[in-house]
Amino acid sequence: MGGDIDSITYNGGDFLDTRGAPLHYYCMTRIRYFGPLTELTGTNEEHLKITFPLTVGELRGALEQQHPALAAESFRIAVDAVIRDTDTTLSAAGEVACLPAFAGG
Amino acid sequence: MSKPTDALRNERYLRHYELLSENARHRLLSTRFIVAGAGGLGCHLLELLVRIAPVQLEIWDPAVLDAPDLNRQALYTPQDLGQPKATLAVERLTAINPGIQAVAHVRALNVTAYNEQHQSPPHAPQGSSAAAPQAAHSALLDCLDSFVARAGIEPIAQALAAPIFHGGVELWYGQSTTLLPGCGYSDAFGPDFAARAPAAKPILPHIPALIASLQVAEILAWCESPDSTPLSGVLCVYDGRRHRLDHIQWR
Repeated sequence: MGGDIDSITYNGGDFLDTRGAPLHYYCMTRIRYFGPLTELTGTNEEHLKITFPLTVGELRGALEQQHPALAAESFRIAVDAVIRDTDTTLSAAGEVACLPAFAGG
Repeated sequence: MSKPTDALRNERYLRHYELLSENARHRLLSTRFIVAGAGGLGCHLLELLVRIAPVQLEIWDPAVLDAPDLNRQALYTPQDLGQPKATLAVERLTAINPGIQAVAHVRALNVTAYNEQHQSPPHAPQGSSAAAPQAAHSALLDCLDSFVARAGIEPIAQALAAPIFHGGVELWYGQSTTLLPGCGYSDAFGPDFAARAPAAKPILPHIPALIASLQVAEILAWCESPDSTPLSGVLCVYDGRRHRLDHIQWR
């Protein structure tokens, strides 16, 4: 980052600056918690400032910084209603859902 | 000459007969439904299913009825305490619909148990198929209470090329999805799904009722269209505190 940006291009994955380098930027992102995670975080929904691009694993780390109790929990992350693997890089996210699996019958 | 689906031409099915296609009726009657768990989800799911059709059922559950089960396990009464749930379920379901064919197995469903009950093991050699006695199709109905137990039924579904209709509940929440042949729990819940902790004990009675209803809706959708259902590749998550249903794609 740094310096003036004359134009931004989008290559379908990252946003790029004029030098073709990935551009880092932040968005206020809606985060939703399900099941017992709502008790641990004290909320079912919040908006957090997330810096993109980042991987799903890094996103999880950011959420754990906000709510340390999440570190011990098993859950998957869905971005805009699609579950993503940990190593998937995200350029943007409108809504993030933290989904534990409910085991009982 | 009678058709295979004539068993549904009975007044007791009049309210929904016309809502099912001939293909769906045929599949309902020609499928062996292997039910893992006769607890909260299982009771609701089974009652709905036997009211829809005179289905073929295998009901697997190792447990006996405990007092805390009575808040949601709708087939049972206080007089049943201490008795095996699988046996009780067959008795009650047969009373609801005497046309069903139901067998109780008072043990947990896994490959070993399945092999002991069936001549053709689900782990048949590649290229052969496990037999489905008196049924053209098989389907597994996952009403289990742990992901470790779910890992135990997945090989049976794979060997039978059978779908798994999954339900899971906890506290105020629940989820349902359908694993068509070729998909497994790890696709929907991640590679470490079996390490997921057992459910917390508190559960409200309407949560399993709702999730079981979603499972039944999926079974009927599969009978209509075996290659694609609304929840194949999709997790339907219910938040009972906020009355909200979300659909999350996992494939």
